[in-house]
Parts: sequence; structure tokens; C-alpha cells
Amino acid sequence: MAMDRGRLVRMCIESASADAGSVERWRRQRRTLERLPAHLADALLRSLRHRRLLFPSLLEVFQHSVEVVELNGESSVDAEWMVYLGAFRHLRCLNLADCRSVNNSALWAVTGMSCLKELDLSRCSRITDDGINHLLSIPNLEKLFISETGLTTDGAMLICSFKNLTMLDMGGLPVTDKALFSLQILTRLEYLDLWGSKISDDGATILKMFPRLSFLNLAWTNVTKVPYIPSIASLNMSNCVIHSISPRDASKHAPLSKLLVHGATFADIGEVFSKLEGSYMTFLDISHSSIHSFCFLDNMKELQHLDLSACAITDDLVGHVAHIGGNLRFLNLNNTKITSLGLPVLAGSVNNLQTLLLSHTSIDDTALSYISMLPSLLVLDLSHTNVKGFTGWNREGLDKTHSLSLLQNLIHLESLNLEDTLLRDDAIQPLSLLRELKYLYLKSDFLSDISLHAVSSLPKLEFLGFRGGVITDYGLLFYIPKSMLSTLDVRGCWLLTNDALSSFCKMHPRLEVRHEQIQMLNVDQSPNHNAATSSASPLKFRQKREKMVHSPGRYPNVIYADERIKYSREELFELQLSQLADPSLCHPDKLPQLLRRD
Amino acid sequence: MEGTTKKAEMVKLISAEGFEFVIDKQAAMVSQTIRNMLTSPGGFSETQQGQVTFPEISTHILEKICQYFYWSLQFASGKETEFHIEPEITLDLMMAANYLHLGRAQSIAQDYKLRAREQCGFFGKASK
Repeated sequence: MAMDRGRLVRMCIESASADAGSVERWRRQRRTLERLPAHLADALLRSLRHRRLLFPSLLEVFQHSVEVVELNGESSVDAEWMVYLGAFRHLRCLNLADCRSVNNSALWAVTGMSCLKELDLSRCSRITDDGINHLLSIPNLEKLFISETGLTTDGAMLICSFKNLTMLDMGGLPVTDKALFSLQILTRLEYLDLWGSKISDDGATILKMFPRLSFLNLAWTNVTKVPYIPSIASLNMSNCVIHSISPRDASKHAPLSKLLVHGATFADIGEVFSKLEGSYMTFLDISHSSIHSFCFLDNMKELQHLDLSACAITDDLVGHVAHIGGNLRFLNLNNTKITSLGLPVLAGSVNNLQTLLLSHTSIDDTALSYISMLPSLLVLDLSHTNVKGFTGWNREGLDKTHSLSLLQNLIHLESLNLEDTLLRDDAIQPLSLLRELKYLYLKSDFLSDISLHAVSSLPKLEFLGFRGGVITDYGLLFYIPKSMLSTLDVRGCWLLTNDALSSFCKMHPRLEVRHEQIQMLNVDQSPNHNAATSSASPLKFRQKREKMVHSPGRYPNVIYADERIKYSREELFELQLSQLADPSLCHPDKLPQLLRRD
Repeated sequence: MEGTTKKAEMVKLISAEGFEFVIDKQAAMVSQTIRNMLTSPGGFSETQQGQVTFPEISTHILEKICQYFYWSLQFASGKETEFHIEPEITLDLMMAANYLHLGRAQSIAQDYKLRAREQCGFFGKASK
């Protein structure tokens, strides 16, 4: 019965956030709301947000219970919301990332919140140095994210007052060497993000003063020499010019295990890597970098994640990857010069590989027989390659065999990308044998109804991309999606008419259909898509959805204006408290802003 | 006093108001908390008498909980019907469900202590 654990709780949360009417029926149970355990209150608040049922004054009912508030990306969050949030006595974590309307004065509401430990203001561009002054009264702050805000160098220097900080994200801010010097008293820092800052090699020497620093991001800076940092485990030097990364005393600390040098330029690649403890490296991203020699890979036996996309790796050099392939889980070879001749080298040695990306390479069908020898593969990207779906092709068309049928050896394969390959309708049929497939991406000018129907039998498919195909209205309407399918992407299928698409959507209301002609329709339905995060059974969900679709029709928007004229102010107050009032009339999303503030 | 076979099959759940619900033991075992109470070794009165008192769960909530137990068994056996929850009781039911599934009363009690509540918590008595 372990599965059952918490199901009733989930169902209750679902019921409480079904629609605005339900909210009205419990929101006045203040005693109960005060006693709500934090994790339940947090979950209820999250659910209300996903259903777009949250509005400022409703926040009040959570002020005694909620500990975590996530409103990231909500552009409606402004000073009014913040006033209510300021009253949350137990608030521990507040995420306001990308809330465009949050400005300095809105932040004033959170001054002195002693429980607050985590605050995310990333990309709130209206917050400047004055806003940080409001935060100085929050003594216990441990995690602060202020990347891409309006802070200046002076504002960055104020951060040193938060003595308990363990995580600090100042990406995209004009942090200078001087500002970094002022931060050296933050000795508890474990995570420091300084991408795009104005730090130079002089400032970087300060970094060794942070004894616990394990994550450091210096991407897009002028730092060329990374000093010895005692606890460093993860380092990002993407798009930098790298002269040296100092070795550390491997006997004392866990050595560097994750290195990202995407797009970096190396003064001397051999020199840089010879000083690193390569044998501890588990994650290496050297994509788009200027590396030509891959000998340094040879001692990285623990490597699990290797990104070589757009690198100068070739079939001759891929032996270096095969040599250390035993532990590899993720291998990205997109945009490289790898061909089908390189695959046999890899096939026998990367047996634990779960993700293999070969997009924009010149591999063809002969590679598939080697790829099919990778038993653990979950994700395979073959888009923009020369895969045709047939091997043994000759002029008469005889002796040709389906090459995609080889993929059925990959019994765990969940995601397959075959966009912009040379596949035709007659090559698609073997895909129906991939029983575990959840995501399938197809895009071609040559695929038609036949292919769509061929893949319709895949039992576990959740996402089907069928872009640019020649699907007819008739073909679409006769396509029967399996119950697991949640998204059908038919963008670029130019033959489809509006009528066919809308009747298809009506036939399969749970399915999200993507097409240029119904983009407007999708915008209207977006709240319903959010609701899909709940675990409602399909039947129940459909009923609920129909209810939601019908209700605005029965109560046209005009009615609200009438209500205000019809009743006096006192009568309106009485109505507000009345339990008899039809809850559908109080739908907060439909109410004008003025009426919403009760 | 009832016979031993009868006792093994049915259990009695008693609400805050003293209302008694006699239900299948198998159904009650859907709740991890009740399962622990009824099966834990050491001769708790709950184990011996086959009855559990919930001083903090009111009758109408406990009734709904019992309905859920049966619904849950039916659902597990493949009968997919809808379990309707009225919005008025959803908060109380949520808290009761949380308590009954989390296993131990302490977890809730700790939750309350953490926030230094003065008022007597929903399941404050059960944790003592």
C-alpha cells in the first residue's frame, strides 16, 4: 500500500483547488487554516497557483502555515502581493524569480522577516541597490539569488552584510575585483555564481579565501588563472580564455569532479589538464571549445557525462572516448565530424550509456547496428543525419532491409529523435516495435498519414512530434491516440484545415495539439493544461474541464458591471459574507481588478 | 464479548464525539497509522481490543475516511469510480488523511513544535 500513501491528501488538495467556487467554500475556515501543517499548506498554495486561482487577498489565509512560496515567473506579482507575503510568519523560502513587477518598494514588505532563509530575485530587473537596503534587515538569509537584477557595483558590496550566506548568485552583475574583496568575510559560502562579472585575475586570487566554496561559476569573465580553492568540486569557466586551473591537495579534499569549459579558449590544453586530477572527474563539458587533442581524456576513467558537441573530434580520435567509456552515461557528439565509421569503436566500450546525441553528424543507417548494441540507452538523438531507414540499398530496390527495426534491441529506449532525416513512409513501420518509447520526434516533408498511423500503436507514447508532414484532414481524424499521449505536435503540417483540427481537438479533449492554426485556441485553454499536473483520473479530469469551459458561458462578463449598479455598498458587503451567494459569480480570474480586492 | 474470529475481521474506529464505526480490518489497514496501531507487538490496547480512538477526528470526517478506505480497496481491485470530496470538509479531511498516512503521530507533533505553537494542535493529544 506504499503507493496509496498520501493519495487522499492529494485528492483533497485537488478538490480544494478545483475552481474558484471550491476556494470560497473553505477560505473562511480560519481556525483550520491556522492549524494546517506547513507541507500541506505549501502543497495547497502550489496547487492554487497552478490552477491560476491565487490572488493577493487569498494569500492571507496562509499566513500562519506556509513556509515555501514559489511565484517565479508571475508577472502579476506586485507590491500588493508582497504586503500579504510580508505577514507570513513562518516563511522560509520565497521565490520571485522573473517577477517583472517586483520593484524596490515592493521589497520593503519583506524587511525583518526573521525566518526567511532563501530569497530568489533573479531577473527582477526593477530591483536596484535601494532594494538590497530593504533586505539588510533579514539577518538569517542563507541563499540569495540576484542575478541580472539592476544592482550596481555599490549594491554588490552591500551583500557582505549577509554573514550566513551559503549560496550567492550574482550572475550578470557588474561585480568588480573591489566588490569581490568586500565579500571575503562570507566564509560560509559554498556556492558562488559570478558569470559575466568584471572579475579579473587579480580578483580571482581572493577566491582561495572561501574555505567551503565547492561550486564556482566564472563563465564569460576575464579570469584566465583559477587559484587553488580548497573545497572546489564544480567549476564553470565557459567562454573564458584559460591559462591554468590550479591543482589542489587531493589528499585533503574531494577534488574537482565537474568542469564546464564550453566555448573556452585554451592557451595550452595539455598544460591545463596535466595539472588536474583527471581521475576524479565525473562531468566534463568541452563543447564548442578550441580543443584539438583529446589525450587528456585517457585518465578520466570515472567520467559519466561528456559533452563534445561542436568539438574537433573525429572517427580517428574517438578511441580516446572509447578508452574511458566504461562509466559514461551521457555522451553528446552533436555537430561533430563523427561518421558511421566511428560507431564501431564506441559500441563495445560504452555499455552503460543512457543518452547518445548524434544530431547534425553525417552518420547513416550502418551506424544503427552499432547503436543497437548499447543496452542501457534511454535517449537517442539522430536528427539531421543521413539515416534513411534502409540498409543494403541497391538500384533495383532489392535486398533492402529495414534498419530502424534494429532499434528494438534497445529495450529501454524512451526518447527518439529522427527529425530532418531521410526517412520515408515505408521505413517508419518498425518504430511501432519500440514498446517503451515515450517521446518520438519526427519532422519531414515526406511523411504522410501512413506514418502517423504506423506509430499510433505505441502504447507508452506521451509526446508525438510529427512536424512538416503531409497529413490530410482525413488522416488526422482517423488517427486514434493511445491514452498515455498528452501532446501531439503537428506544426508545419500545411494540409490540415482549421475545421479538421478543431473537431480533432473536440474528439480528444485531453490531448494538447500544437499547430499554427490553433495557437490561439491553446492560449485560451492554458489554465486547463496547468491543471494536468494533478493526478486526476482521465474521466474526472474531462468532467471538470467541461465544467470550466461552460461556466463563463453561463455568466457572461457583463453581469459583473450590472451587479455593482444594482446593489448599494452595504448590500454588497452583506452579499460578500453570504454563504448563499453563487460561488461561480466570484471567480477571481473573471472579476475585474477593483472587485477582487475585498 | 465477541468471538475471536469476529474480532480478527472487524475493527472499531471511534470519533472525537464517541461515535463508533465498525469496519473491515482489511479496509482500515489502508491507513499505515492504523495498521501500525493494530499490528504492533507489545500488547497495546488497540491491538487487543481491535478498536482505535481518534480524539481529534470529528464524526463526519471519520465517516468520510471510512468511505475512502472502502473506495480505495475497490479502486485497487480495478473499479475506477470517482471519490467525491466536498470543498467544505477538504481541509479537515486533508489533515486527518495526512495523519493517518504518515504513520506516526510524532511527525505532526514535531511539525507543531518547530513552529512553537501554543494552542493545542490538531493531534496534540494523540502524540502524548
